[in-house]
Amino acid sequence: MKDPYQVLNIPRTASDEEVKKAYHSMARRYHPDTNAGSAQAAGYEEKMKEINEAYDAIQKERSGGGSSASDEWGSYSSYNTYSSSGTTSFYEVRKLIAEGRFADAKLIIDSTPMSDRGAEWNYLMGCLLTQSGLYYDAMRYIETACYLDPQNLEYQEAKRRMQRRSSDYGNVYRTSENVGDCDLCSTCSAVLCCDTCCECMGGDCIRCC
Amino acid sequence: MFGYVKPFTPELKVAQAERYRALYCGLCREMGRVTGQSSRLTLSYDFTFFAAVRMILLEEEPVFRPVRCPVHPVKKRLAADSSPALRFSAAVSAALVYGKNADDLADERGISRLRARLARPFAASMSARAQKLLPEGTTQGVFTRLDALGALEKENCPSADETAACFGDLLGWLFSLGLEGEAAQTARALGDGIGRFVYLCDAADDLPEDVKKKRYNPLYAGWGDLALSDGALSDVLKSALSVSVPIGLEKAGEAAEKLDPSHPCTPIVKNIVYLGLPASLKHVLSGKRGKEPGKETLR
Repeated sequence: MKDPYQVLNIPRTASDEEVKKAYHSMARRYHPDTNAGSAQAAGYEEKMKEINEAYDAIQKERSGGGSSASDEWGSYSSYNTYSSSGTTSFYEVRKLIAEGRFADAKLIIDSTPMSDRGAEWNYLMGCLLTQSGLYYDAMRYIETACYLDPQNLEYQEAKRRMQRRSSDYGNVYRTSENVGDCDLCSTCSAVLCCDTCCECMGGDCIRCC
Repeated sequence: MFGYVKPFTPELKVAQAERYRALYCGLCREMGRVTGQSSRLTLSYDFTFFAAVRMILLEEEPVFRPVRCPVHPVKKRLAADSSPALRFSAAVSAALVYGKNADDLADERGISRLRARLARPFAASMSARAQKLLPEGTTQGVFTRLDALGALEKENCPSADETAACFGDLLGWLFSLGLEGEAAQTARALGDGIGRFVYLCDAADDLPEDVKKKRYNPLYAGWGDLALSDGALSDVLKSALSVSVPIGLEKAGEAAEKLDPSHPCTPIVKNIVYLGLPASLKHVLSGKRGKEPGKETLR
């Protein structure tokens, strides 16, 4: 395994705060969600795994060998800094989702006991269902997550993403119907035409032509 | 049957709106000829859409002719002439009406059951007359698919996606009957999108009543008490549906793009898929049940 400090591109003397910052900026850059569809997506997935492992290793080392649940939570593979609650299993789920192993993530989600199914569980369920194209159910879980924890920006962002996609529907129709209605070109040529007519009558609005 | 699959007329050209109405009249008359006069009562917007799609995919030019009809006795109106696409649409409509009737007879209670029982002989004769126009095993296929949906409903399936997909499968299959290759795929995608859309709109429309009468409703099964507030659809449910239902239509939209752009019915089909359906959804979510949608959805 590579040197974890090298992976995160920080000196060994970096403070906990700096480690965290470096991890978050790396995670943001290589997260599969931000690179979806790009050619390097597969390579980034590998990189993401490496980053996660490096961060885990540093956390482990600094907390004296053992890792507490909150430390693990901190290394969530996305860029979430505002989640208020979390258990080890959800961290596991996020990691699996980041690696694209949706079926494994679904197994953990499905086996979560009823008492642990809070806002975050709903959110992750929504993400997984979106992946499988089950949008009606996905939105139920995402809405429920937002309803249970209205302050959480991550859930709000997921909802907004879906809203944007939804409002795009039907745009094909509108844009294709309005082509050539009134664009800059036709405005310019109309002005030139007017000027030419004006010149015939002895006036001139645009001197240069 | 449901009335959610309509064009958004303010955005239709006058000629297209006229054409759509003529198609509707043509289908009505065709149903009278093919499956009997009483079957004209089951005329629906859904199957006008079906007929339009079929005409495009069969590359059939509609011929319109002014006719007089008992429903509109004063003035002659344009109606589409009898054609293979219209005949087939009338027959498929009959098969679905028959399947739905048998379903109601088995599941419903009280007035609805009585109504289904009274309609039974008519539905049966419609279906019998439609038989010779349909491919072998059509009625059976309708029953198997409706039964699959019925089974999900009986076990109180909490997933709206699963139940809606079941109905989408039924319509997708009906749309693609007798077609081959790419045309069949396009038809199936359109039918599937429409089916799921109609199923969800219907579920949202019936939600308050279903809960009151303790009937199965996919949305209530999934959302529980979060689905309702003060006996009407809750805001979270409305928000979720207004976002997810159009996303569920994306595939149907892509299929509509593949239709022959020079066919006179294509603008109508596109209008329905892109604007008519979202307008219907908006209307359903606004909770004004039964009233005709106005132009409040204009934008």
